[in-house]
Amino acid sequence: MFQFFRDLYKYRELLFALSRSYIKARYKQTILGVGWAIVQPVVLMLTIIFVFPLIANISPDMKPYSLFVFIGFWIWTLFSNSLSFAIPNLVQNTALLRKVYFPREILVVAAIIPSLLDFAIGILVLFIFMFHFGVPFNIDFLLLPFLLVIFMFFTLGISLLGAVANVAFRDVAKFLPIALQILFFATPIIYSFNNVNGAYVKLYKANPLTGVIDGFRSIIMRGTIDNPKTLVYALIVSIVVFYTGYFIFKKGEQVMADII
Amino acid sequence: MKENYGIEVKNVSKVFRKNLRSFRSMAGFLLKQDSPDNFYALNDISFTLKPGDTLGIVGKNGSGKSTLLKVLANITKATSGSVKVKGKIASLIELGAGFHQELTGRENIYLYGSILGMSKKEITENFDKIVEFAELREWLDTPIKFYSSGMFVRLGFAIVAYSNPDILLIDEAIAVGDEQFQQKCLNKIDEFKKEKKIIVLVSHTHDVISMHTDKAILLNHGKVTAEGMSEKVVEKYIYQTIIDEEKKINNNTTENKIAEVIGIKFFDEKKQEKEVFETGELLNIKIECEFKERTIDPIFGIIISNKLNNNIYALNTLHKKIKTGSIKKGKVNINFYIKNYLSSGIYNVSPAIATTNQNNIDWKGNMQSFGIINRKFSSNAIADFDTKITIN
Repeated sequence: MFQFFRDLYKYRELLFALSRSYIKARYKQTILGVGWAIVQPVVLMLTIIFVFPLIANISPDMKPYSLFVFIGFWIWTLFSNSLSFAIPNLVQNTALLRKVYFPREILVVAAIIPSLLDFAIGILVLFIFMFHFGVPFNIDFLLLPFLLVIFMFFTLGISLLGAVANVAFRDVAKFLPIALQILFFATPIIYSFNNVNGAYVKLYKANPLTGVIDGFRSIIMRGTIDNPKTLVYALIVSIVVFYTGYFIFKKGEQVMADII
Repeated sequence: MKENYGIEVKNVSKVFRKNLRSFRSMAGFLLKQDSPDNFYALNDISFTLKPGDTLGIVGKNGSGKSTLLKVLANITKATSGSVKVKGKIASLIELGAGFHQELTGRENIYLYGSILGMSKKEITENFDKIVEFAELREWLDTPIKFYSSGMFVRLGFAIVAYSNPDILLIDEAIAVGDEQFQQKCLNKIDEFKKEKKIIVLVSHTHDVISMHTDKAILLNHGKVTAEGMSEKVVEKYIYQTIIDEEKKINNNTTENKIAEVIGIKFFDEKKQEKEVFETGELLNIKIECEFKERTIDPIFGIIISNKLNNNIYALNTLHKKIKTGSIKKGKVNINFYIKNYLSSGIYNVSPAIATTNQNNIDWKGNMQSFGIINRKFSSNAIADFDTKITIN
């Protein structure tokens, strides 16, 4: 793990140059330019405000529902965009991998940074929602960065694992949108974790995203952590996933240029 | 100047697998299983390079040259053996590999510079020099997807040249630009040499190796088959290529021709048969023909071409106004005596027989090869004429 951060620091210039180029390339030859980064969250916000109040039967822990849904989407988007961008990124940079050396995880991390930027822009939208519904700030907000870091370890672990597997078998990137779609519905994004029961509830709880999203929501909306156990579980899983992902990635790195 | 950089390669081998298409072969390769599809791209290679050393790598396509560079550049890991590299490496394995098409030249200088391990500050300091060298000032703010391939190459080399490496690995890359830019690159390489940097150079152009590197190794199927002074190794490479060429002589003699070229032999001034000549030496090309019937005034000719299939010299008996007379049924030899002004390299000879009114009777494209070694002067030009220079 220290090796990971050491390499990241050593190659920070490359990391920033790469992620800068991804961000810039996203908005090249568009009229709005970087303005597009604002468009997505704002449209999401408007959709939520206009569409979701129409839904009936909302349990009390989901109110205000617009804010509830926004937080779910906000974190989900970070996760799914990170994966969608990072997992195919090694293969997309085949030419680079075969011609120049640098620690290959830089490509994965650099692909996640633009999504983190979108996430940061989302904070502004969050503030608008909170202001609109009169939700106060509370001391527990200080826990949020910590939660985010844990969550990023999870995202990074999955991305590293997916990216290296995709080098050997391109099926991984092909299957990714399907997997994300399933996961979207299996994660409490538009409904509440507390409303879930039935035969598969254990399996359902095994999804660490559940703990993270639930943690974010209960802190922002109520200033408490509703399900601390689930959150601790998510924390442990995230670290394990990151370690495993990084370890396998480094193993795969040695033959990457030969098989890509 | 600190000189604590170097390369030490010990018993390095690299195994590749020819076919990775199926799940089984990919899984087998990843689990390091043996397979008939495995082959050695590099086989037991060892050498050491100290500051100021320049190494040329020659060999045919597929002999392992690029793989060796990639192992040195840490792009791929050796299957066995050890590779120790100390110092900052810049590799020019393919120019422009790190470019992003949508970004401008200016942005790409920063991107590629950081790929090569330069800090932002370093890039800014060298920015003007890079632009100057690449001759791209007025194109700086154009996205590079609109660049020509020549501009691409210039930008790539310029960034590498100013990334201040201790070790420079170059693979054919400079062969892409125009003549003038190639020379500029080679001059830069010589400059690096003077600065005691380590240079490893892969090239198909014999003279580039013998001129710009001190030592060289010859690779053949992943094995080192010769090493030492680069001129000597290049000579060996030329000999080896000639021997390999001979094995490929075409035997399409089945057609019903009234005459046919059946062989070519090369002799020197002393009627000694040989295949490798020196620049300026008399080159006697003997064409052996077989006639199946009596033929009046046929035309005999040859074309000499280089490896790139550019015709370098063509001549025939008609052009030289030689009446060949009546050729009887049977064998006949035609001797061409040429004072050669060719530079180092491999050359092909294509012989032809034609009728008086210039209809082809027989033509054997690239039938036989000979080699030339220029011991007096090395340049990347094709010819080296006997020239006198006066200064008034």
